[in-house]
Amino acid sequence: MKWYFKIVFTVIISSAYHLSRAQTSAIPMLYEFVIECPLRKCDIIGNTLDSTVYVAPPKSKFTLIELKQDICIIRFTLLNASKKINTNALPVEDFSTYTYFYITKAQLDFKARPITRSNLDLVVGNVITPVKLRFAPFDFTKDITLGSTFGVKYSFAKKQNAAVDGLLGIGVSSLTIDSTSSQGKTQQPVDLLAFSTSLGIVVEFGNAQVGAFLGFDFISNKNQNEYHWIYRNKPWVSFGLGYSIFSFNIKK
Amino acid sequence: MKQLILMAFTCWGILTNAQTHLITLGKGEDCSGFNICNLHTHTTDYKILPNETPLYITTTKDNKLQFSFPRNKMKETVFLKYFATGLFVLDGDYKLPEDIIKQFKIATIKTGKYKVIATADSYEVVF
Repeated sequence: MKWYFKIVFTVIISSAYHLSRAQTSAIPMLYEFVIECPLRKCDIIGNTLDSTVYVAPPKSKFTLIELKQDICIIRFTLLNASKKINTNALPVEDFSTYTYFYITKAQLDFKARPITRSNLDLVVGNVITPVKLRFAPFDFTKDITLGSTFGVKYSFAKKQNAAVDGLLGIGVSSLTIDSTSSQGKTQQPVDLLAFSTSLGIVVEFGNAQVGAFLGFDFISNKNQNEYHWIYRNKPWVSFGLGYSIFSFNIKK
Repeated sequence: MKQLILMAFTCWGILTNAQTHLITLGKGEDCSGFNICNLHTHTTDYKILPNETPLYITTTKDNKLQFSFPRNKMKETVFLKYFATGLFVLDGDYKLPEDIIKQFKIATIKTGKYKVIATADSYEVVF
């Protein structure tokens, strides 16, 4: 039972992971409507041409021509069935035949999503792991690691809001070594700095996310000789579970 | 520029022996679904109705029926409903008119979703 509470506590506390990320490779001007959207015909500078309200169907793709205060000037763009966009394969078009429409910025934000070049994105950012599980002997500590991560995000084609991130992290940890973790070499808890490396995986489904990290903390040889830290070269594990815990401050 | 495109289309039509047809997309009496309501040859003295869209019908090298819709002749409402997603949907088999069967030796277009290919001046659908 004690073990059970330890694990639950660890999972809850470690949910405080904070990973801010910058994603790359989205093509910003190509979008797809996720739901039908009303629009009006306009010229290229956004002057309304007629009062008819047109309706764009879901899955229709468009190019964002210009963002002017609250309105977005768009034109529809037909792409190959494949998600991959080969710009060289797009036909040379006569721009004088284009028809422009405008939608509001709110409609762009809530009724459309950007079309990405592929299912893979680069993810870079930073991660804080506040609680770690250590093994042999089992212990959980509040050794905070602050560091940077980078990796790859794979978005599932059919479920655009589902993705898996594979992350590699490096950082600096604050360790507390006490008599138990130093084989009695120190009676008073001592705070030390350690170099940390980690591998992580984050599964995202909408705003719900689950993450796990496996890593190592390395203290200096001098400190190791002095304190005989028992978790040297032993991995730690940290988990996260929650709602939007990894999606704070996403930059696209 | 539009006149040039029209001229190019006319020349292309003559060269490929394509004849202008008029299509009313939709289904049933009110032409509201995803099918072909009406397809007929465009004759010189015929006045195009508001719901009709001109197209050229040809066949590809592998003898598949190809519809080419000139962009500048297509109304926005037609484009948005039937072409904007990049897939031309036919929700039921369509039996082609006799003159097209006779000309192309193809009797029906099967139910399905057909890719819309955008060229410089037209939208093409191969069935």
